[in-house]
Amino acid sequence: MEIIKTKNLSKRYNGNLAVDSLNLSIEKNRIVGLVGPNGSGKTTAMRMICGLLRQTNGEVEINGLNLSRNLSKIQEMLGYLPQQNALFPDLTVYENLYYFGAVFGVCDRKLLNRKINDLLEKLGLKDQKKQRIEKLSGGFQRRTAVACSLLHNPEIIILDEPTIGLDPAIRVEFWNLFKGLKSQGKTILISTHYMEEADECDEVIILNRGKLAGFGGPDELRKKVFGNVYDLSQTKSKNSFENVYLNLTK
Amino acid sequence: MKYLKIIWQNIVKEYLVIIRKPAGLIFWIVLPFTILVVFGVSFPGGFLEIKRAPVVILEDGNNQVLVDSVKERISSEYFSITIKKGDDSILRELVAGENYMLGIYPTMSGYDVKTFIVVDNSNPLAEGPVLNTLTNKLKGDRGVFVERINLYKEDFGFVGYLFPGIIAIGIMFISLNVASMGVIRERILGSLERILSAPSPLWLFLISKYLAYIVLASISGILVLAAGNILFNIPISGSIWLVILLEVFTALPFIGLALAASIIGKSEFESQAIANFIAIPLMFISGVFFPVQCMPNYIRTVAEILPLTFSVDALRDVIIKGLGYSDIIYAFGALSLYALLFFILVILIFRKRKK
Repeated sequence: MEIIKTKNLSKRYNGNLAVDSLNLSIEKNRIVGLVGPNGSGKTTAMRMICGLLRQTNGEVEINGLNLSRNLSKIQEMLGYLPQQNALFPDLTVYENLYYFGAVFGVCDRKLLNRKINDLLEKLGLKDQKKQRIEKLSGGFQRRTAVACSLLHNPEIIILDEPTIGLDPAIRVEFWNLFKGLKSQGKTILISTHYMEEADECDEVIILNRGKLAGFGGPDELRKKVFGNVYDLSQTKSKNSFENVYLNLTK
Repeated sequence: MKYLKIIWQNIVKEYLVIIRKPAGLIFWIVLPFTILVVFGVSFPGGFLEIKRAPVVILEDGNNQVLVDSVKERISSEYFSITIKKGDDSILRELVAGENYMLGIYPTMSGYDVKTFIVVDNSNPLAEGPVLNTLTNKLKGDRGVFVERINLYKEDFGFVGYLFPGIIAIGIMFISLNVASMGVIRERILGSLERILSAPSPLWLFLISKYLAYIVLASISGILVLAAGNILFNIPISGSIWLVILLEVFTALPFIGLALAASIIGKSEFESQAIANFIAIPLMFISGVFFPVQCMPNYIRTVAEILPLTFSVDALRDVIIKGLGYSDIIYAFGALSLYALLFFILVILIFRKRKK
C-alpha cells in the first residue's frame, strides 16, 4: 500500500529548481533511504513532504490524503527529525520530551510520561533524563532528538540525516531502533550520506540536482548500474553501493 | 603569544560574523542618527519651549470685555487659545477632559481684575513654563491678580509625570527584546521547524508566545508600579487593576512587532537591532519624557497616534488623574487595533516564509 506519493513535486528558489518534478511512490512499512550530494534537494523534498515548505508545483499525498488540503491530519501521522537536533539546550532531556510530546498532542500526562520513560529506556537515555541538553554529548543529544520525533507514535517517520557525526556504535543502535520501528509497521524515510546505511534500506531514492537519479532496492540499483554482469561474488568494493551512488550522481 | 593569537582570531571571527550579516550593524549605526533627527525635528527649540500650548478662557456671559482683554494680553505664539462659555465650576472638568494645559477664568473684584488659573499640574510643561509665561503676561498690567488652582490635589513633581511613561517604556522594552529573541532563537536551533511540523495550528504557537511575554511584561510593569509607589511615594489615584490591564494592552502591539522582527531577522543580533530601532525613537516622541505639546504640529499629529503615546496617556489618566475605564476606552481601542494589525502581520510574514 502506497503511503507517500509525490506527483511532479517541484520547488523553485530564486529561479533555481531545488527539486525538479519528483515522482515518488513509497510503500507502507518500508525503510526508504534518501541519498544525494549536498544541495541535491533531499532536505527540501523532505520538508515539502512534511508540509513545512510549500511546493512550487506538484502534489504530495500521504496515506491517500492530499497534503495541502489535510495538513494537520497528515502532520499527526508524521514524525520529523530535522537536520539539526532541534532541541532547547537550556531544558533537560525530560523537559524537551515533555514539551514536544505536548506540542504533538499527547496531552494525557500519565500517557506522556509512560511514553517518555519508554523512549528513554529504548534510546539509553534513562540516566540523562534530568540533564540539560547543552551538557550532553552529541550522541545523547541526537538520541533525545530522535526520541522527540517518536513521542506521538507516528505512522511515518521522516529523519533528516539522523546519524550524521555519530560514532559507529550509536549508528548501529539507531539502525536497530529503525528496524524495530519498521517491525511495528512504521514507514521510515531517512536521508543519509553513509552508503552502508543506504544499503540497509528496503528502497533507496537517489537525488541529483533536484532530479530523481534512481529509485529502487539497493540490489535493483546495483543491477541497473552494473547490468546483468552484477555478481554477488565480486569484491565488495566493486559492487558497493557507494559505486552505485557515484555512478548515478555523476 | 599563543593566547594573543587566540584572542585575535576570536575578534576576527566576531567581526566576520557581524560583517557577513550586516543588517543588524547598519541598524545600530543608523540609530543615533535617527535619534538626532527625531530630537532635531520634534524639539527644535529645546524640550520645554512653549509653542501653541492649549489654553482655554472661560466666559460666563457677563465678562465679554474681560475675556477679550485677557485674550489680547496673552495672544502670542505661545498659546493656542480657545474661548468657551460656562462658569468656573466646569473649568476643572474642561481642563482635565479636553486636555487643556491651563484654564483661565477672569472675574472682577471691585475695580480689580482677578484671574483664576486652573493648572493641569500633572503636566510639567503646564506647571512650569506655560504658567510662568502666562502669569507674566497677565501681571504685566497693574491691577490683575492671578490665583492658581491645581487640577489635582497631589503634587506629582517631574518624577510623577515620568512615572507612567517609565512603566510604559519598561513594558515596551521587555516585550520587544524578549519577543524579538523568541522566534529567531528557535529558528536557529531548528526547534521551530519541529514545532511547525506538529499538527497544532500556527496561531496556537503564536498565542502561547504572546501569553508568555505578556506575563513577563506585566510583571515588570507591576514591579515598576510598586517601586514608584514605595520609593518615590507616587500615589496611584485610579484602579490598580485598570493599570495592570493597561499594562497587558501596552505589551500586545510590541510583542507583535518584535515577533515580526524575529521572523524577518537573520540572526538574534539583527532581530534585536530591529526591535530597538523601533523602540528608542518611540521612547522620545511618545510623551514619556517631554510633553507632546512641545512638538511642532506635524510631529505631534504622528506622535498622538503612536501606540506608546496611547499607553502613556492612558496610564497617566489612571495613575495620576484617577480616571476610570470609560475615560480611557480610547486607549484600549487603539492598542487592540495595533495588536490585531501586528498579529496579522506576524501571521502573513510567517506564511510568506513558509513559501
